[in-house]
Amino acid sequence: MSVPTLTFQSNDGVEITVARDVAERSVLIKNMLGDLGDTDEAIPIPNVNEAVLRKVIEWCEHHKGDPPNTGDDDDSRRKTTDIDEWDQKFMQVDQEMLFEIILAANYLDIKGLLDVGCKTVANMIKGKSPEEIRKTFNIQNDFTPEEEDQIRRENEWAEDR
Amino acid sequence: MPLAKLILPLKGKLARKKERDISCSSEHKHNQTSQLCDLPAEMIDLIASFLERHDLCMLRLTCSALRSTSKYQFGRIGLHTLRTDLSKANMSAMAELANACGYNHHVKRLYICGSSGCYLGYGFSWIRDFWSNRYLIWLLTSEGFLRLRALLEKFPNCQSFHVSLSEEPEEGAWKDCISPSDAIVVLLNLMSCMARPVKSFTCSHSDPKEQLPGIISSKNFSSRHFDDARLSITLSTLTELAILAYIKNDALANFVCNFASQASNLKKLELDFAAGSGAPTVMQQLGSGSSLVKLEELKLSNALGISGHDLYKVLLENCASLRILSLKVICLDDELWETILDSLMRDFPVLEEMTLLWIADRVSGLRELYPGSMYIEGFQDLRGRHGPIRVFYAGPPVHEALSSLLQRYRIPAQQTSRLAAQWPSSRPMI
Repeated sequence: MSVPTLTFQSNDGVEITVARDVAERSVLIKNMLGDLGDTDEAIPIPNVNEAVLRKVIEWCEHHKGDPPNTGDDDDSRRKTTDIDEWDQKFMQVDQEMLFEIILAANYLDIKGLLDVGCKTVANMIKGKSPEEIRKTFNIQNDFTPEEEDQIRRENEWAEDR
Repeated sequence: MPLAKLILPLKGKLARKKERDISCSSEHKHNQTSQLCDLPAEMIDLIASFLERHDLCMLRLTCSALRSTSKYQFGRIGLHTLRTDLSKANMSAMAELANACGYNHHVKRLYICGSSGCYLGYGFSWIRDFWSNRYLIWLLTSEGFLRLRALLEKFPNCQSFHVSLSEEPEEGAWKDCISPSDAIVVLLNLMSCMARPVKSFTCSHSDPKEQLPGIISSKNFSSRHFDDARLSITLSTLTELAILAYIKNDALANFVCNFASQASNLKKLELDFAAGSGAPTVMQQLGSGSSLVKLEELKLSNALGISGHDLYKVLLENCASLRILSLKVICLDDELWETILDSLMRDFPVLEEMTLLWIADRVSGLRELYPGSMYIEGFQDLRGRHGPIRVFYAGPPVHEALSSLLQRYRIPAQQTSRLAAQWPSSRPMI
Protein backbone atom coordinates (compact mmCIF):
# COMPACT_ATOMS: atom_id res chain seq x y z
CA MET A 1 0.00 0.00 0.00
CA SER A 2 1.45 3.35 -1.01
CA VAL A 3 2.11 6.08 1.51
CA PRO A 4 -0.39 8.96 1.23
CA THR A 5 1.31 12.06 -0.10
CA LEU A 6 0.69 15.75 -0.62
CA THR A 7 2.22 18.19 -3.04
CA PHE A 8 3.44 21.63 -1.98
CA GLN A 9 4.13 24.43 -4.39
CA SER A 10 6.81 26.90 -3.34
CA ASN A 11 6.48 30.60 -4.14
CA ASP A 12 8.93 30.16 -7.01
CA GLY A 13 6.63 27.60 -8.60
CA VAL A 14 8.42 24.35 -7.75
CA GLU A 15 6.23 21.39 -6.74
CA ILE A 16 7.52 19.08 -3.99
CA THR A 17 5.80 15.85 -2.99
CA VAL A 18 5.78 15.01 0.72
CA ALA A 19 4.44 12.11 2.78
CA ARG A 20 1.24 13.22 4.49
CA ASP A 21 2.45 12.40 8.00
CA VAL A 22 5.55 14.55 7.37
CA ALA A 23 3.44 17.42 6.02
CA GLU A 24 1.19 17.22 9.07
CA ARG A 25 4.02 18.35 11.34
CA SER A 26 2.71 21.69 10.13
CA VAL A 27 -0.36 22.56 12.19
CA LEU A 28 -1.48 24.91 9.42
CA ILE A 29 -1.49 22.10 6.85
CA LYS A 30 -2.98 19.58 9.28
CA ASN A 31 -5.88 21.88 10.14
CA MET A 32 -6.40 22.76 6.51
CA LEU A 33 -6.60 19.10 5.53
CA GLY A 34 -8.91 18.47 8.45
CA ASP A 35 -11.26 21.12 7.10
CA LEU A 36 -11.00 20.18 3.44
CA GLY A 37 -10.26 16.48 3.39
CA ASP A 38 -7.76 14.86 1.01
CA THR A 39 -6.68 16.74 -2.06
CA ASP A 40 -4.71 16.01 -5.20
CA GLU A 41 -4.10 19.66 -5.88
CA ALA A 42 -0.73 21.23 -5.18
CA ILE A 43 -0.93 23.32 -2.00
CA PRO A 44 0.61 26.74 -2.55
CA ILE A 45 3.00 27.86 0.16
CA PRO A 46 3.27 31.58 -0.43
CA ASN A 47 6.45 33.40 0.59
CA VAL A 48 8.49 30.24 1.07
CA ASN A 49 10.89 29.48 -1.73
CA GLU A 50 12.02 26.06 -2.88
CA ALA A 51 15.32 25.99 -0.95
CA VAL A 52 13.66 26.95 2.33
CA LEU A 53 10.72 24.63 1.77
CA ARG A 54 13.08 21.70 1.15
CA LYS A 55 14.91 22.51 4.41
CA VAL A 56 11.63 22.68 6.32
CA ILE A 57 10.53 19.34 4.86
CA GLU A 58 13.91 17.82 5.76
CA TRP A 59 13.34 18.87 9.38
CA CYS A 60 9.79 17.53 9.38
CA GLU A 61 10.94 14.20 7.97
CA HIS A 62 13.56 13.83 10.68
CA HIS A 63 11.07 14.74 13.42
CA LYS A 64 7.98 13.00 12.06
CA GLY A 65 8.00 10.51 14.96
CA ASP A 66 8.27 13.18 17.67
CA PRO A 67 5.37 13.46 20.10
CA PRO A 68 2.98 16.25 19.12
CA ASN A 69 3.67 19.60 20.70
CA THR A 70 1.29 20.21 23.58
CA GLY A 71 1.39 23.93 23.03
CA ASP A 72 2.62 24.50 26.57
CA ASP A 73 4.31 27.80 26.76
CA ASP A 74 5.60 27.48 30.27
CA ASP A 75 8.79 28.74 31.82
CA SER A 76 10.51 25.36 31.89
CA ARG A 77 10.49 25.28 28.09
CA ARG A 78 12.04 28.70 27.99
CA LYS A 79 14.79 27.95 30.42
CA THR A 80 16.95 25.92 28.11
CA THR A 81 18.61 26.74 24.86
CA ASP A 82 19.91 23.20 24.48
CA ILE A 83 19.53 21.99 20.92
CA ASP A 84 20.04 18.34 20.00
CA GLU A 85 22.98 17.44 17.82
CA TRP A 86 21.03 16.76 14.60
CA ASP A 87 19.16 20.07 14.92
CA GLN A 88 22.41 21.92 15.58
CA LYS A 89 23.88 20.57 12.33
CA PHE A 90 20.63 21.26 10.52
CA MET A 91 20.79 24.89 11.62
CA GLN A 92 24.36 25.39 10.39
CA VAL A 93 23.19 27.61 7.54
CA ASP A 94 23.83 31.22 6.65
CA GLN A 95 21.85 33.87 8.48
CA GLU A 96 19.56 34.54 5.56
CA MET A 97 18.47 30.89 5.43
CA LEU A 98 18.18 30.76 9.24
CA PHE A 99 15.73 33.67 9.36
CA GLU A 100 13.83 32.29 6.35
CA ILE A 101 13.43 28.96 8.17
CA ILE A 102 12.14 30.76 11.28
CA LEU A 103 9.61 32.71 9.25
CA ALA A 104 8.49 29.62 7.33
CA ALA A 105 8.16 27.65 10.60
CA ASN A 106 6.06 30.44 12.04
CA TYR A 107 3.84 30.63 8.97
CA LEU A 108 3.40 26.86 8.70
CA ASP A 109 2.95 26.66 12.47
CA ILE A 110 5.70 24.12 13.19
CA LYS A 111 6.38 24.84 16.85
CA GLY A 112 9.39 22.55 17.21
CA LEU A 113 11.20 24.05 14.25
CA LEU A 114 10.33 27.59 15.33
CA ASP A 115 11.79 26.88 18.78
CA VAL A 116 14.98 25.40 17.33
CA GLY A 117 15.39 28.39 15.00
CA CYS A 118 14.82 30.93 17.77
CA LYS A 119 17.11 29.04 20.16
CA THR A 120 19.81 29.09 17.50
CA VAL A 121 19.51 32.87 17.26
CA ALA A 122 19.46 33.14 21.08
CA ASN A 123 22.69 31.11 21.19
CA MET A 124 24.24 33.53 18.69
CA ILE A 125 23.41 36.39 21.08
CA LYS A 126 24.62 34.73 24.29
CA GLY A 127 27.82 35.98 25.85
CA LYS A 128 28.19 38.89 23.43
CA SER A 129 28.46 42.60 24.15
CA PRO A 130 25.96 44.96 22.47
CA GLU A 131 28.61 45.89 19.91
CA GLU A 132 29.33 42.24 19.11
CA ILE A 133 25.61 41.54 18.70
CA ARG A 134 25.32 44.52 16.34
CA LYS A 135 28.23 43.21 14.31
CA THR A 136 26.82 39.68 14.16
CA PHE A 137 23.39 40.77 12.95
CA ASN A 138 24.30 43.92 11.07
CA ILE A 139 22.40 46.20 13.44
CA GLN A 140 22.72 49.98 13.40
CA ASN A 141 22.95 51.66 16.79
CA ASP A 142 20.26 54.35 16.72
CA PHE A 143 20.35 55.33 20.39
CA THR A 144 21.21 58.78 21.66
CA PRO A 145 23.68 58.82 24.59
CA GLU A 146 20.77 59.80 26.87
CA GLU A 147 18.70 56.81 25.74
CA GLU A 148 21.64 54.49 26.25
CA ASP A 149 22.08 55.84 29.80
CA GLN A 150 18.41 55.28 30.48
CA ILE A 151 18.60 51.65 29.29
CA ARG A 152 21.72 51.00 31.35
CA ARG A 153 19.91 52.31 34.43
CA GLU A 154 16.97 49.99 33.71
CA ASN A 155 19.35 47.09 33.12
CA GLU A 156 20.90 47.62 36.55
CA TRP A 157 17.63 46.47 38.12
CA ALA A 158 17.77 43.23 36.16
CA GLU A 159 21.44 42.55 36.84
CA ASP A 160 21.47 43.51 40.52
CA ARG A 161 20.57 40.32 42.39
CA MET B 1 -12.85 25.61 -3.79
CA PRO B 2 -9.27 25.75 -5.16
CA LEU B 3 -6.67 25.43 -2.44
CA ALA B 4 -4.90 28.51 -3.69
CA LYS B 5 -7.98 30.59 -2.83
CA LEU B 6 -8.18 29.08 0.62
CA ILE B 7 -4.59 29.55 1.55
CA LEU B 8 -4.12 32.96 0.01
CA PRO B 9 -6.13 34.81 2.68
CA LEU B 10 -3.49 33.59 5.08
CA LYS B 11 -1.14 35.83 3.23
CA GLY B 12 -2.80 38.71 5.03
CA LYS B 13 -0.93 37.54 8.10
CA LEU B 14 2.15 37.83 6.04
CA ALA B 15 1.78 41.36 4.79
CA ARG B 16 4.84 42.44 6.70
CA LYS B 17 6.58 39.26 5.76
CA LYS B 18 6.14 40.02 2.06
CA GLU B 19 8.04 43.24 2.45
CA ARG B 20 10.62 41.38 4.42
CA ASP B 21 10.94 38.80 1.69
CA ILE B 22 12.11 41.50 -0.58
CA SER B 23 14.50 42.71 2.04
CA CYS B 24 15.65 39.14 2.63
CA SER B 25 16.78 38.88 -0.96
CA SER B 26 20.18 40.00 -2.13
CA GLU B 27 18.99 43.62 -2.11
CA HIS B 28 18.69 43.34 1.63
CA LYS B 29 22.40 43.25 2.12
CA HIS B 30 22.82 46.42 0.16
CA ASN B 31 20.17 48.14 2.30
CA GLN B 32 22.22 47.30 5.38
CA THR B 33 19.12 46.50 7.43
CA SER B 34 19.19 43.71 9.96
CA GLN B 35 17.14 40.57 9.34
CA LEU B 36 16.94 40.11 13.09
CA CYS B 37 15.37 43.54 13.58
CA ASP B 38 13.00 42.85 10.68
CA LEU B 39 11.53 39.74 12.28
CA PRO B 40 7.95 40.08 13.51
CA ALA B 41 7.75 41.22 17.11
CA GLU B 42 6.40 37.89 18.34
CA MET B 43 9.46 36.10 16.97
CA ILE B 44 11.91 38.47 18.64
CA ASP B 45 9.91 38.01 21.81
CA LEU B 46 10.36 34.23 21.47
CA ILE B 47 14.11 34.59 20.90
CA ALA B 48 14.36 36.92 23.92
CA SER B 49 12.45 34.38 26.03
CA PHE B 50 15.38 31.97 25.63
CA LEU B 51 17.92 34.48 26.96
CA GLU B 52 19.27 34.86 30.45
CA ARG B 53 18.98 38.22 32.18
CA HIS B 54 22.45 39.49 31.29
CA ASP B 55 22.16 38.55 27.61
CA LEU B 56 18.75 40.17 27.43
CA CYS B 57 20.22 43.36 28.89
CA MET B 58 22.91 43.32 26.20
CA LEU B 59 20.36 42.72 23.43
CA ARG B 60 18.21 45.69 24.40
CA LEU B 61 21.28 47.92 24.27
CA THR B 62 21.78 47.24 20.55
CA CYS B 63 19.05 49.31 18.90
CA SER B 64 15.64 50.83 19.55
CA ALA B 65 13.78 48.18 17.51
CA LEU B 66 15.14 45.30 19.58
CA ARG B 67 14.71 47.25 22.78
CA SER B 68 11.08 47.74 21.95
CA THR B 69 10.34 44.18 20.81
CA SER B 70 12.15 42.56 23.76
CA LYS B 71 10.38 44.77 26.27
CA TYR B 72 7.93 42.16 27.53
CA GLN B 73 10.64 39.57 28.15
CA PHE B 74 12.85 42.17 29.83
CA GLY B 75 10.03 42.85 32.23
CA ARG B 76 9.21 39.16 32.71
CA ILE B 77 12.76 37.91 33.15
CA GLY B 78 14.64 40.98 34.33
CA LEU B 79 12.20 42.87 36.52
CA HIS B 80 10.35 40.01 38.21
CA THR B 81 12.30 40.76 41.39
CA LEU B 82 13.64 44.14 42.44
CA ARG B 83 16.41 44.31 44.98
CA THR B 84 16.26 47.27 47.29
CA ASP B 85 17.95 48.50 50.47
CA LEU B 86 14.94 50.78 51.09
CA SER B 87 17.20 53.84 51.08
CA LYS B 88 15.82 57.15 49.88
CA ALA B 89 18.05 57.10 46.79
CA ASN B 90 17.11 53.55 45.91
CA MET B 91 13.41 54.22 46.33
CA SER B 92 13.69 57.24 44.02
CA ALA B 93 15.33 55.03 41.39
CA MET B 94 12.54 52.47 41.80
CA ALA B 95 9.96 55.22 41.36
CA GLU B 96 11.69 56.19 38.12
CA LEU B 97 11.48 52.59 36.93
CA ALA B 98 7.82 52.37 37.95
CA ASN B 99 7.08 55.44 35.87
CA ALA B 100 8.87 54.01 32.82
CA CYS B 101 6.15 52.92 30.46
CA GLY B 102 4.73 49.50 31.22
CA TYR B 103 7.44 48.12 33.50
CA ASN B 104 5.63 48.47 36.81
CA HIS B 105 3.25 45.56 36.15
CA HIS B 106 6.12 43.10 35.74
CA VAL B 107 7.45 43.52 39.27
CA LYS B 108 6.22 40.57 41.35
CA ARG B 109 8.68 40.42 44.20
CA LEU B 110 10.71 42.77 46.39
CA TYR B 111 14.02 41.48 47.72
CA ILE B 112 15.07 43.64 50.65
CA CYS B 113 18.77 43.39 51.25
CA GLY B 114 21.27 45.92 52.56
CA SER B 115 24.23 46.63 50.34
CA SER B 116 26.48 47.25 53.32
CA GLY B 117 25.93 45.10 56.37
CA CYS B 118 22.43 44.72 57.66
CA TYR B 119 21.37 48.35 57.58
CA LEU B 120 18.42 49.46 55.49
CA GLY B 121 16.43 52.59 54.82
CA TYR B 122 19.17 55.25 54.88
CA GLY B 123 17.97 58.76 54.11
CA PHE B 124 14.84 58.61 56.24
CA SER B 125 14.26 59.18 59.95
CA TRP B 126 12.85 56.07 61.57
CA ILE B 127 11.07 55.64 64.88
CA ARG B 128 12.54 52.61 66.63
CA ASP B 129 11.15 53.04 70.14
CA PHE B 130 9.72 49.53 70.31
CA TRP B 131 8.67 49.81 73.94
CA SER B 132 6.37 52.74 73.35
CA ASN B 133 2.65 52.19 73.01
CA ARG B 134 2.67 54.80 70.29
CA TYR B 135 5.13 52.81 68.15
CA LEU B 136 2.57 51.74 65.57
CA ILE B 137 1.23 55.28 65.11
CA TRP B 138 4.76 56.64 64.71
CA LEU B 139 5.66 53.95 62.21
CA LEU B 140 2.58 54.44 60.06
CA THR B 141 3.21 58.16 59.77
CA SER B 142 6.96 58.02 59.22
CA GLU B 143 8.37 59.33 55.95
CA GLY B 144 10.04 56.05 54.94
CA PHE B 145 6.83 54.10 55.50
CA LEU B 146 4.75 56.55 53.49
CA ARG B 147 7.30 56.64 50.67
CA LEU B 148 7.41 52.86 50.46
CA ARG B 149 3.65 52.72 50.45
CA ALA B 150 3.46 55.21 47.58
CA LEU B 151 6.05 53.17 45.72
CA LEU B 152 4.23 49.87 46.17
CA GLU B 153 1.05 51.46 44.87
CA LYS B 154 2.94 51.75 41.58
CA PHE B 155 3.74 48.02 41.56
CA PRO B 156 0.27 46.48 41.80
CA ASN B 157 1.47 42.93 41.12
CA CYS B 158 4.22 42.94 43.73
CA GLN B 159 2.88 40.37 46.18
CA SER B 160 6.02 38.51 47.25
CA PHE B 161 8.62 39.71 49.71
CA HIS B 162 11.99 38.45 50.79
CA VAL B 163 13.88 40.04 53.65
CA SER B 164 17.55 39.20 53.89
CA LEU B 165 18.40 38.85 57.56
CA SER B 166 21.47 39.96 59.41
CA GLU B 167 23.91 37.35 60.68
CA GLU B 168 24.76 39.43 63.73
CA PRO B 169 22.53 40.59 66.59
CA GLU B 170 20.71 43.78 65.74
CA GLU B 171 21.80 46.06 68.52
CA GLY B 172 21.78 49.84 68.65
CA ALA B 173 19.35 52.70 68.96
CA TRP B 174 20.03 54.32 65.62
CA LYS B 175 17.27 56.24 63.89
CA ASP B 176 18.82 56.96 60.50
CA CYS B 177 18.28 53.41 59.28
CA ILE B 178 16.42 50.22 60.09
CA SER B 179 17.38 46.59 60.61
CA PRO B 180 16.01 43.59 58.67
CA SER B 181 13.73 42.79 61.64
CA ASP B 182 12.36 46.34 61.48
CA ALA B 183 11.83 45.85 57.75
CA ILE B 184 9.67 42.78 58.47
CA VAL B 185 7.52 44.86 60.81
CA VAL B 186 7.33 47.68 58.26
CA LEU B 187 6.36 45.30 55.43
CA LEU B 188 3.70 43.43 57.37
CA ASN B 189 2.11 46.68 58.51
CA LEU B 190 2.37 48.11 55.02
CA MET B 191 0.62 45.13 53.48
CA SER B 192 -2.11 45.35 56.12
CA CYS B 193 -2.66 49.05 55.50
CA MET B 194 -2.77 48.61 51.75
CA ALA B 195 -4.97 45.50 51.94
CA ARG B 196 -2.50 44.05 49.45
CA PRO B 197 -2.75 40.28 49.06
CA VAL B 198 0.59 38.65 49.84
CA LYS B 199 1.51 35.44 48.05
CA SER B 200 4.90 34.66 49.47
CA PHE B 201 7.05 35.85 52.36
CA THR B 202 10.61 34.78 53.06
CA CYS B 203 13.13 35.74 55.74
CA SER B 204 16.54 34.22 55.29
CA HIS B 205 20.21 34.91 55.40
CA SER B 206 21.39 36.70 52.25
CA ASP B 207 23.67 33.88 51.18
CA PRO B 208 21.94 30.52 51.57
CA LYS B 209 25.12 28.73 50.44
CA GLU B 210 26.91 29.85 53.59
CA GLN B 211 24.15 28.20 55.64
CA LEU B 212 24.47 30.81 58.34
CA PRO B 213 21.38 31.40 60.42
CA GLY B 214 19.72 34.76 60.00
CA ILE B 215 18.99 36.73 63.14
CA ILE B 216 15.57 38.07 64.01
CA SER B 217 15.24 40.46 66.91
CA SER B 218 12.47 39.30 69.23
CA LYS B 219 11.77 42.78 70.61
CA ASN B 220 10.29 43.76 67.24
CA PHE B 221 7.47 41.29 67.32
CA SER B 222 5.26 42.37 70.18
CA SER B 223 1.53 42.29 69.49
CA ARG B 224 1.34 46.08 69.85
CA HIS B 225 3.41 46.39 66.69
CA PHE B 226 0.65 44.98 64.51
CA ASP B 227 -3.03 45.47 63.87
CA ASP B 228 -3.93 41.80 64.23
CA ALA B 229 -7.28 41.95 62.47
CA ARG B 230 -5.82 43.62 59.40
CA LEU B 231 -2.76 41.40 59.41
CA SER B 232 -4.94 38.32 59.51
CA ILE B 233 -6.76 39.41 56.34
CA THR B 234 -3.48 40.13 54.58
CA LEU B 235 -1.95 36.80 55.54
CA SER B 236 -5.03 34.85 54.51
CA THR B 237 -3.81 35.02 50.90
CA LEU B 238 -0.29 33.84 51.73
CA THR B 239 0.57 30.54 50.02
CA GLU B 240 4.34 30.36 50.64
CA LEU B 241 6.14 31.14 53.87
CA ALA B 242 9.81 30.55 54.58
CA ILE B 243 11.48 31.59 57.84
CA LEU B 244 15.11 30.57 57.89
CA ALA B 245 16.31 32.15 61.10
CA TYR B 246 17.66 31.47 64.54
CA ILE B 247 14.54 30.91 66.63
CA LYS B 248 16.28 31.46 69.92
CA ASN B 249 13.39 31.81 72.35
CA ASP B 250 9.67 31.47 72.93
CA ALA B 251 8.97 35.07 71.96
CA LEU B 252 10.26 34.40 68.46
CA ALA B 253 8.58 31.01 68.43
CA ASN B 254 5.26 32.73 69.17
CA PHE B 255 5.84 35.18 66.34
CA VAL B 256 6.54 32.35 63.88
CA CYS B 257 3.45 30.42 65.01
CA ASN B 258 1.27 33.50 64.91
CA PHE B 259 2.51 34.23 61.40
CA ALA B 260 1.98 30.68 60.15
CA SER B 261 -1.36 30.10 61.84
CA GLN B 262 -2.90 33.26 60.33
CA ALA B 263 -1.88 32.09 56.88
CA SER B 264 -4.86 29.82 56.49
CA ASN B 265 -4.24 29.10 52.81
CA LEU B 266 -0.57 28.25 53.12
CA LYS B 267 0.61 25.66 50.60
CA LYS B 268 4.36 25.73 51.23
CA LEU B 269 6.01 26.15 54.61
CA GLU B 270 9.74 26.12 55.19
CA LEU B 271 11.21 26.58 58.66
CA ASP B 272 14.91 26.41 59.43
CA PHE B 273 15.27 26.86 63.18
CA ALA B 274 19.05 27.06 63.09
CA ALA B 275 19.13 24.83 66.18
CA GLY B 276 17.40 27.53 68.21
CA SER B 277 15.70 26.52 71.45
CA GLY B 278 12.35 27.87 70.23
CA ALA B 279 11.84 24.94 67.84
CA PRO B 280 9.93 22.70 70.32
CA THR B 281 7.51 25.55 71.10
CA VAL B 282 6.86 26.19 67.42
CA MET B 283 6.18 22.53 66.70
CA GLN B 284 3.99 22.20 69.78
CA GLN B 285 1.85 25.19 68.77
CA LEU B 286 1.64 24.14 65.14
CA GLY B 287 0.65 20.66 66.24
CA SER B 288 -2.11 21.80 68.60
CA GLY B 289 -4.98 22.64 66.30
CA SER B 290 -3.29 25.13 64.02
CA SER B 291 -4.99 26.20 60.82
CA LEU B 292 -2.27 24.56 58.73
CA VAL B 293 -4.24 21.86 57.03
CA LYS B 294 -3.61 22.34 53.33
CA LEU B 295 0.17 22.19 53.11
CA GLU B 296 1.48 20.65 49.91
CA GLU B 297 5.12 21.18 50.77
CA LEU B 298 6.69 21.16 54.24
CA LYS B 299 10.40 21.64 54.86
CA LEU B 300 11.83 21.60 58.37
CA SER B 301 15.51 21.98 59.16
CA ASN B 302 17.76 22.17 62.18
CA ALA B 303 15.07 21.47 64.76
CA LEU B 304 16.55 19.89 67.87
CA GLY B 305 14.65 18.41 70.80
CA ILE B 306 11.21 18.65 69.22
CA SER B 307 8.51 16.22 70.26
CA GLY B 308 7.82 13.39 67.85
CA HIS B 309 4.14 13.63 68.82
CA ASP B 310 4.03 17.28 67.77
CA LEU B 311 5.74 16.56 64.46
CA TYR B 312 3.40 13.65 63.86
CA LYS B 313 0.35 15.81 64.58
CA VAL B 314 1.49 18.53 62.15
CA LEU B 315 2.08 15.90 59.48
CA LEU B 316 -1.23 14.14 60.01
CA GLU B 317 -3.18 17.38 59.83
CA ASN B 318 -1.81 17.82 56.34
CA CYS B 319 -1.89 14.19 55.26
CA ALA B 320 -4.46 14.74 52.51
CA SER B 321 -2.48 17.44 50.73
CA LEU B 322 1.22 16.89 51.48
CA ARG B 323 3.20 16.16 48.29
CA ILE B 324 6.75 17.04 49.31
CA LEU B 325 8.28 16.62 52.76
CA SER B 326 11.81 17.52 53.72
CA LEU B 327 13.22 16.84 57.20
CA LYS B 328 16.85 17.83 57.59
CA VAL B 329 18.77 17.59 60.85
CA ILE B 330 15.76 16.84 63.01
CA CYS B 331 16.32 15.39 66.47
CA LEU B 332 13.22 14.10 68.24
CA ASP B 333 13.15 14.00 72.02
CA ASP B 334 11.39 10.63 71.85
CA GLU B 335 11.63 7.53 69.67
CA LEU B 336 8.77 7.98 67.27
CA TRP B 337 10.62 7.92 63.97
CA GLU B 338 9.50 4.43 63.09
CA THR B 339 5.83 5.30 63.67
CA ILE B 340 6.12 8.54 61.73
CA LEU B 341 7.97 7.04 58.76
CA ASP B 342 5.58 4.12 58.62
CA SER B 343 2.59 6.45 58.64
CA LEU B 344 4.12 8.55 55.87
CA MET B 345 4.18 5.47 53.64
CA ARG B 346 0.58 4.51 54.41
CA ASP B 347 -1.53 7.54 55.28
CA PHE B 348 -0.41 10.23 52.83
CA PRO B 349 -2.19 9.64 49.53
CA VAL B 350 -0.44 12.30 47.44
CA LEU B 351 3.04 12.21 48.97
CA GLU B 352 5.57 11.82 46.17
CA GLU B 353 8.90 12.98 47.54
CA MET B 354 10.55 12.76 50.94
CA THR B 355 13.95 13.97 52.09
CA LEU B 356 15.34 12.56 55.33
CA LEU B 357 18.75 13.95 56.16
CA TRP B 358 20.39 13.41 59.52
CA ILE B 359 17.30 12.50 61.44
CA ALA B 360 18.00 11.43 65.03
CA ASP B 361 16.24 10.79 68.31
CA ARG B 362 17.02 11.07 72.01
CA VAL B 363 18.71 7.66 71.99
CA SER B 364 20.88 8.16 68.94
CA GLY B 365 21.43 11.66 70.27
CA LEU B 366 23.01 14.76 68.90
CA ARG B 367 26.40 13.19 68.47
CA GLU B 368 24.87 11.09 65.71
CA LEU B 369 24.02 14.25 63.83
CA TYR B 370 27.64 14.49 62.84
CA PRO B 371 29.43 12.03 60.57
CA GLY B 372 30.12 8.87 62.51
CA SER B 373 30.80 5.25 61.80
CA MET B 374 27.22 4.33 60.86
CA TYR B 375 26.18 6.32 57.84
CA ILE B 376 23.94 5.71 54.85
CA GLU B 377 23.02 7.93 51.93
CA GLY B 378 21.36 7.84 48.53
CA PHE B 379 17.85 7.86 47.11
CA GLN B 380 15.35 5.12 46.50
CA ASP B 381 11.83 4.78 45.16
CA LEU B 382 9.65 3.13 47.79
CA ARG B 383 6.26 1.50 47.43
CA GLY B 384 3.84 3.57 49.47
CA ARG B 385 0.28 2.40 49.98
CA HIS B 386 -0.99 4.96 47.48
CA GLY B 387 1.89 4.90 44.99
CA PRO B 388 5.64 5.28 44.64
CA ILE B 389 7.45 7.76 46.88
CA ARG B 390 10.98 8.86 46.11
CA VAL B 391 13.09 9.12 49.25
CA PHE B 392 16.39 11.00 49.48
CA TYR B 393 18.27 10.09 52.62
CA ALA B 394 21.57 10.54 54.39
CA GLY B 395 22.79 10.10 57.93
CA PRO B 396 22.67 7.49 60.68
CA PRO B 397 19.93 4.85 60.52
CA VAL B 398 18.27 6.19 63.74
CA HIS B 399 18.00 2.87 65.50
CA GLU B 400 17.00 1.09 62.35
CA ALA B 401 13.95 3.28 61.68
CA LEU B 402 15.39 4.61 58.43
CA SER B 403 16.93 1.26 57.40
CA SER B 404 13.65 -0.45 58.22
CA LEU B 405 11.73 2.04 56.07
CA LEU B 406 14.04 1.48 53.11
CA GLN B 407 13.82 -2.29 53.52
CA ARG B 408 10.11 -2.72 54.24
CA TYR B 409 8.83 -0.56 51.43
CA ARG B 410 11.43 -1.49 48.83
CA ILE B 411 10.07 -1.92 45.34
CA PRO B 412 10.87 -5.30 43.74
CA ALA B 413 13.64 -5.08 41.14
CA GLN B 414 11.38 -5.87 38.16
CA GLN B 415 9.24 -2.82 38.93
CA THR B 416 12.07 -0.36 39.40
CA SER B 417 12.90 0.02 35.69
CA ARG B 418 9.29 0.93 34.93
CA LEU B 419 9.35 3.48 37.72
CA ALA B 420 12.63 4.92 36.55
CA ALA B 421 10.97 5.85 33.28
CA GLN B 422 8.32 7.83 35.16
CA TRP B 423 10.81 10.03 36.96
CA PRO B 424 12.95 12.67 35.29
CA SER B 425 16.44 11.27 34.76
CA SER B 426 18.20 13.77 36.93
CA ARG B 427 16.19 14.68 40.00
CA PRO B 428 18.07 17.22 42.05
CA MET B 429 19.97 15.71 44.93
CA ILE B 430 19.39 17.72 48.05
